[in-house]
This record gives sequence, structure tokens and C-alpha cells, in this order.
Amino acid sequence: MALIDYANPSKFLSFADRVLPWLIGCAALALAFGINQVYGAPDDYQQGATVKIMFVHVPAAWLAMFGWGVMSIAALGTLVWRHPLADVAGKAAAPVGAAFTLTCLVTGSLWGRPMWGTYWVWDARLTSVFILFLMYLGVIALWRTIDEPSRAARAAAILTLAGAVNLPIIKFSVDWWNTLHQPASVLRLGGPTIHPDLLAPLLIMAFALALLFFALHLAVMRNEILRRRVRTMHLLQAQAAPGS
Amino acid sequence: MNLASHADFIVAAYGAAAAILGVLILWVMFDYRALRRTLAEFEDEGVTRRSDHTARSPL
Repeated sequence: MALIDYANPSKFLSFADRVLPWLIGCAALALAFGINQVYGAPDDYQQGATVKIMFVHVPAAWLAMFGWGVMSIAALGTLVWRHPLADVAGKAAAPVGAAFTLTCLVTGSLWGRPMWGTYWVWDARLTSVFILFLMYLGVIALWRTIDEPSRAARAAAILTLAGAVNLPIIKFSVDWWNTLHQPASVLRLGGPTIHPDLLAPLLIMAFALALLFFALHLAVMRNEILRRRVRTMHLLQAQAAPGS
Repeated sequence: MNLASHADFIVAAYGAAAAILGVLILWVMFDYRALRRTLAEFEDEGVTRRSDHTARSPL
């Protein structure tokens, strides 16, 4: 079967039904292994044991931005190519991305209190990630506001592409402004500055949470296709009703 | 592993992450079951999409 065949919702559903159990199983195994690695990771020489929060905070931050990236590509698919599954993919990524952004904000706040002495500060990195979270909520609200899926898809796609400008702001905020948040220490031109003993569990957790992200995205896409079928059934039932 | 110094913050961070992602997983599961149930009810009432009807016809 060619990749283009999965553009057909029925074929995509059968693909999702086959792939999801494997994806969920792999994500669960990878998470179990990752948490085991986190447990055995050494303390940081400055931050002590609180560095363990990094293993969930940093992957959540990466996936928060990745989620909006997925939505941006899907938005192009909706506006430029009018791909049948593009708006489904875009809509499905929003709650998943929002959950990872909230995870990033909450874990960051809980890491900030012992390290910075405060749960929150309005510096450029924290504020731009908070704006990302509000944008996710905005897209979810927009989808719920407009009944007709194709109209909602176009509006959400425009909002998504406009919001994509926040991604480089989040990434480079620690370089462009003086922030309490530390500069990049993994995804940087000169290579990671983290000790390998801490980098390895971080990458394993990032891989595990990425698998969870893909599994959830696929599951929400499947739900969205089913929701549209339910909507079609309601319309058919209304049309068939006497007097309609 | 020595969690003594800031154990409460570490446990709270992992607990919060588990709670947020757990709620999302539960929502996806319950939503899926509810949608499948609604579709089955429509099918029981004889309401089917045109594409389903075409797929089932001998032609």
C-alpha cells in the first residue's frame, strides 16, 4: 500500500488500529526503562537531586514545540494541498501539545522554586512558553467554536501558522534576552554541554515521551475521524426525519 | 540516589507530569469508547453513511 492510500480515512483507521497497540507497548517499555535510568542517574554538582526534574521537563518542552511544528505542517496541508487528513492531524495535535506544554510549565515551576527561589518569573523563556500554552488553548477553543469542520480547519490553520512565529522566539529567547532561565545545553551548535551520565537518561526519556506523543496523536486522530462519522450520521438522521 | 534535599519538588514534578498525561490518556480512551458506542447505536437504528452502503453492496 502506498503512503498516499493512508489519506483515505477508512484506510487510516485500519492503519491506526494495527499500529496503536505496538506504539503504546513500545512507549510503555521505553518509559519504564527511562524512569529506571532516571532513578540511577547521578546528582548534579550544583543542582543536586533536583536535576532529575530535567528528565521530564526538557523532553516536555521539546514536545510542546514539536506539537506546534506538527500543527504548522498540517496547517500547510490544509491551506495549500487540502489534504483530507491534514486538518484532522492539526486538530488532534492541539490537546496533546497543550498537555506537554502544561507539563513543561508545571515541572519547570517546581524546578525553579528550589533553584531560583521562585515558582515563576516573567522572563522571556517562561513567558513565551506560557504564550504557547495560551495559543494551544486558543486553537482548541476555535475548533470548538465553529461547527463546520472545513471552515474551522481553515481558521485554525491560519491561527496556527501565525502562532508558529513564537517557536523561534521560544528557542532563542535565552540568547536574545537576559533571562533567569539557563541557555540551551543540548540542542546547540557546539554540541551538548551536559555530562554523558545525565545526557543519556535525558535522551532516553525524550525518546520515550516522543513515542507517547506519537501514540496519543494517532489515537486522537482516530477519535476525530470517528467524531466526523458521528456528525455525518446525525446529519443523515436529521435529513431522513419526517418533515425535513 | 539522595532525594533528601528537595524530594518534595522532585516527587511533585513527576506526579504532576503523570497526572496531566494520565488525564489526557483517560480522555482519549473514554472519548474513543463513547464514539464507538454512538456509531454502533446509529448502525443498530439502520443509519449508515452512503460510502458504507456502497462498500457493502455487491457492486
